[in-house]
Amino acid sequence: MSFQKKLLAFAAVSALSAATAVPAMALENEFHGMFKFMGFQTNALQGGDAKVLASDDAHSGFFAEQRARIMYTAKANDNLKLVTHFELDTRFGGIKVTDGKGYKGTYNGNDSGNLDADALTLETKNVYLDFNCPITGANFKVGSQPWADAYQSLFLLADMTGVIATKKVDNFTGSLGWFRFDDNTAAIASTDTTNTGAGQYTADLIVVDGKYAINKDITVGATYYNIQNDTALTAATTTAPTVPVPNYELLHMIGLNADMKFGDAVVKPFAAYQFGEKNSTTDISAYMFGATGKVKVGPGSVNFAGYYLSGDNNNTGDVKSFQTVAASTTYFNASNMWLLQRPGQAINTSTSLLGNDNTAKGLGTAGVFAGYEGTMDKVFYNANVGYMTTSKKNAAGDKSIGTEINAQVGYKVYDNLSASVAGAYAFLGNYFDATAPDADNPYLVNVQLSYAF
Amino acid sequence: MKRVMLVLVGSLFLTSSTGAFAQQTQAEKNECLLASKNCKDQVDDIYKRMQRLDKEIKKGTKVYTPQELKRLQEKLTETQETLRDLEKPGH
Repeated sequence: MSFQKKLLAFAAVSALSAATAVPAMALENEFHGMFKFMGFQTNALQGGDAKVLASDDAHSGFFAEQRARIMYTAKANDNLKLVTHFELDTRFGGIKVTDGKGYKGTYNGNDSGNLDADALTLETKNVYLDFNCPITGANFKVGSQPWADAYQSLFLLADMTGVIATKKVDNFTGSLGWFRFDDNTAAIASTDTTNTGAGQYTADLIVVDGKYAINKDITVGATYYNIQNDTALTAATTTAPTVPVPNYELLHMIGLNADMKFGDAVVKPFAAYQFGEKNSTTDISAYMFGATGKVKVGPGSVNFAGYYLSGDNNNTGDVKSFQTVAASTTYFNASNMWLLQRPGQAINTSTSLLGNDNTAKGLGTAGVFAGYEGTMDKVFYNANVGYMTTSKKNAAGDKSIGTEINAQVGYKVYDNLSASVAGAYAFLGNYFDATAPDADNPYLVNVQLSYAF
Repeated sequence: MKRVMLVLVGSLFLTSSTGAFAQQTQAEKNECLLASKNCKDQVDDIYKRMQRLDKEIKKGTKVYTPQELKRLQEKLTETQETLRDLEKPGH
């Protein structure tokens, strides 16, 4: 090889080395996470998803629990990343092996709160690819990911497997998504000659969402959600479940929402209508509306929120009850309640007086909530009051679920660590008279340590 | 001699260009927050990241173009959503 050729080869190799070194340096390994410890003194909570007790002579007891969430994001560049998110839940002392009440994150006593810890508690929440398509300019999220409705999660907030594409054009943001949240198709038995393929007994959610920013203070949105539930369709050889989730076959939900800022006030109203088929003979026609808001007053803010879900106490004709996917995947965090609604700060124990079922088994519910929150240097505080009723009377002719008052005060130990104590008390309404006429009013005292990084 | 000089100059060019990528830019723009470039010692916790993004956004059009400001705002929103997801109650 001549000197000139060697020179060229050297230059080429050097240039290649420099070129490959540059992209590698752009990779970001992002770790985030949280840890919460909670202790409860209460006569109402049972730990886990079991609903808040409304019973006579309810005993008071203390229990503690913890949750950690770890999120790792492998970011190749601004247009491509893999997001993974895991969860570890434990109750102090573990849980009883035969506890069938569904303590969050554990199964058959497999809880590292037991003596000598060592247990499998790692849960996978999300694993999805998030990338911007260079051809369409749209953002795609593919895999197991979190999704929330545009209605304060009264309909659905869940981690689900699916694909969603989002595209921004000037002031308009549009999303189109598909989620498969249930697939009960059984594996084909060797003797099965029906040739049942995969994906036969499934439940899917289609999402169409549009948002338009009229100006910097006002954004309006419109949505269409569609659920097609084929998990209950039966065939001679199927092992499809007899109680499907959700408990309807077809649902269309159309709605409008807005996010408006007026000076020191932010108001978010919303409304939606549902129609579809409960089954082959019964149709659905239901609706909901509500609003949340925040106004700066003095050193803090006044919060308010309210909603109405239509209900039905007549078992004949079309169903007028607002439909969700499952009670466990609904929320109304803007209420800032601890007992009437599942608390927004909850970890493993995340429940309410109605066991998170804001449809009240079809009666529908309505609630109004208000509170004040503020900070003073490292101290933060809030106090709230709320009232809930069913939309339709129960069999005993009663509607009032109850009234709650609560307050919380906390201290920021470090930027990332806060310690707080909260108390909540609910005055039960006559809704419980038929089932628990002498029920004690539920209460709880919560101590909490919260770290996020 | 001419060839030797060429090799030396070429090597110097390659070394200096690689070095520029390895160092945090001294310019006012935060290239790491803006475009995930020159991310040295990126161990910000989630609150610090939000504070830094907010600080950069407040520098406004004196430092960033409107497009870049929009990108920073998107990143702030994305980080806030991550925190919300981490603290989501229930399941």
